[in-house]
Amino acid sequence: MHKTYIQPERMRRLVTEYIDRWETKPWGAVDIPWEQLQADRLTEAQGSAIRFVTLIEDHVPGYIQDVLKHFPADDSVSPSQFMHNRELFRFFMRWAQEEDRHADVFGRYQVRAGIQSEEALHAELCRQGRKTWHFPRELPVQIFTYTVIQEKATQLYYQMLGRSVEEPVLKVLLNRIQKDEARHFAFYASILEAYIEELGQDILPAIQEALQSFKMPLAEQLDNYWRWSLEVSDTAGGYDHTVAYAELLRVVQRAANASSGSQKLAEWVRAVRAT
Amino acid sequence: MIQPDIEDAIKKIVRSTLNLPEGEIESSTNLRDLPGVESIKILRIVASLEKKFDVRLDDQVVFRVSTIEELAGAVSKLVEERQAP
Repeated sequence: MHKTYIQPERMRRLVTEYIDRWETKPWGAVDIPWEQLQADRLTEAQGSAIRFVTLIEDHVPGYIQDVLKHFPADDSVSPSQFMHNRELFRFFMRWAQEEDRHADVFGRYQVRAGIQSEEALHAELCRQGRKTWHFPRELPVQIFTYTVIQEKATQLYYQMLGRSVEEPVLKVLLNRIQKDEARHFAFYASILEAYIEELGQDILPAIQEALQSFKMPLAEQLDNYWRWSLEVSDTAGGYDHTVAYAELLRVVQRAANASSGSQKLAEWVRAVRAT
Repeated sequence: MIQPDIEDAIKKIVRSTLNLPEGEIESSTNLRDLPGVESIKILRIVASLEKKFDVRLDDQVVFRVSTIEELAGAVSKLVEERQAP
């Protein structure tokens, strides 16, 4: 594989399209109807799930530090790659702002709903947030494969959790956040499609590798991750992040026109879900 | 509780988690080879076992164990350690 990134002009167009949509959807903690909060309608398991997702969202400094290392915007790369990375930087800044907003509102929600005190919340965020996280694979197309799965899985989780909660403010929060995650997914899916179209079928093995090594963010960093994540899944009606693999498959098949290569990927999806 | 009893309990949990019909599951069966298995279901099996036997398996064991026999051995060891004077 010689070329490892798409034309900067195409990246610019995709990022600009995202920004045009993004600029029309601003919201923040001040827009949340906090006065409607009914903490007694929140279960202990739902409170635990919110603690869990706050930790995941709040890790944004770690995510952004790592992703910027993979897309340097300096003289270590060619002018063309610099332009590609510079355009992407515009998206990453907006993405980081949105993820940080999720962490902010979830944190405020925890304190207002009495899930934990402000002191306990920040001690927990500090203890877990200092842990280093890295993308499991290096190539740009693998990073976009990772983000396609992760954003869709996160969106599905918030959607399912939102359906199962009765507390009205949490319902509003989850609905707002899942829409942000849906936009992130759509953006990353458009990038991945562009990569497959421009770089060709040769990159499918790299996508398979990224799929095989996929683990949700902080799966290896958070204390007691797998037990906690099972409880969190049950709280959202038995959510399973591997359902998002099907979305990856749809994106790849759309871009690769159901070629034999993408059929092979479909077999991989089945195999990976079984391991 | 001795290991064969734990193996029987695991088989029961495996059948229930994977919706498998009554029938013999060999102790040497690799959990990942069972029909309908997914990684999350293996974790659910382990979580049910931990609850039933009031033990906590090390993550190294959870992610490396392959057969029912091995899983029973790991649980049995923890149960024995707890019962030791």
